[in-house]
Amino acid sequence: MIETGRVCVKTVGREAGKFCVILDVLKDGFVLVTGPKAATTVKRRKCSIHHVEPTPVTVKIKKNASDDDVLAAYKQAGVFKKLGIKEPTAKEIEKARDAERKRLAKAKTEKAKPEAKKKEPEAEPKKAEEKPEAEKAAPAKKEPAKKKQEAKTVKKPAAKKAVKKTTKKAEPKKK
Amino acid sequence: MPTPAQRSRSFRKRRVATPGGKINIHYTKKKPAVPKCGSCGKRLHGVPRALPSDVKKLPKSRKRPERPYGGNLCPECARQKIRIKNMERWEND
Ligand SMILES: [Zn+2]
Repeated sequence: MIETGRVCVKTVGREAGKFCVILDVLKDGFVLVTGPKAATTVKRRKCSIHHVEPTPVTVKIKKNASDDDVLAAYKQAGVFKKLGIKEPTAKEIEKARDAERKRLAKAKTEKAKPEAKKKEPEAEPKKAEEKPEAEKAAPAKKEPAKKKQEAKTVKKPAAKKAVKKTTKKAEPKKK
Repeated sequence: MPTPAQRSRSFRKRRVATPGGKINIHYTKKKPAVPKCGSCGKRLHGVPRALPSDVKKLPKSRKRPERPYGGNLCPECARQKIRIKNMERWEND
């Protein structure tokens, strides 16, 4: 029953209960499947045989046919009527194409990113090790001392203000 | 003493030890029952066990799994039901 061109129902996941076509039978009990997305919201994806339930409907398509070819084949064989699905409008088809294009572009950039990330950390630590050897002894001691002084000067007036405020507010209430 | 409204059995009593050595009782609303599969009674995942007022605040996608019969049937029973429906549909052809 499971061969290219067979219309199936997905039984698992968010696409459960929706129709799809088998495009190719892969190794280890997997199949390549598509709605297409414009017609039934099932993405073009790899999928286990156990997640798919065959129907008696078949379509004449080539192996790994494109979504447009599948839609044309649906129209010829009158599959939309057989399955009780609405035929997708031109707008919907264009929308699905756009989404696919965006997905491919995103996948490309994501593939390029990890290589760049790996290179950066290797370069950074070397610089960090080289620089501070000479500077470490002098500035490291000075900076924290300055910070402490600043902190002290800042803290005191704030504390005094707070005390004054509380006393002022508290006095009238007592009277 | 609790307010009269809190004297109902629909409240859970929590004992809370205070720093003064006392034990106070806090009254909290009881949780609703665990969501279960409608056909086999298995516990359902992905369905929040909270008061209806809290569940209302959640987005739709966090209230139940996004699949047919999600939140009513467990995935196994849903799969069976979809399969049977598919077979019944093509019986007459
Ligand atoms: Zn069940």
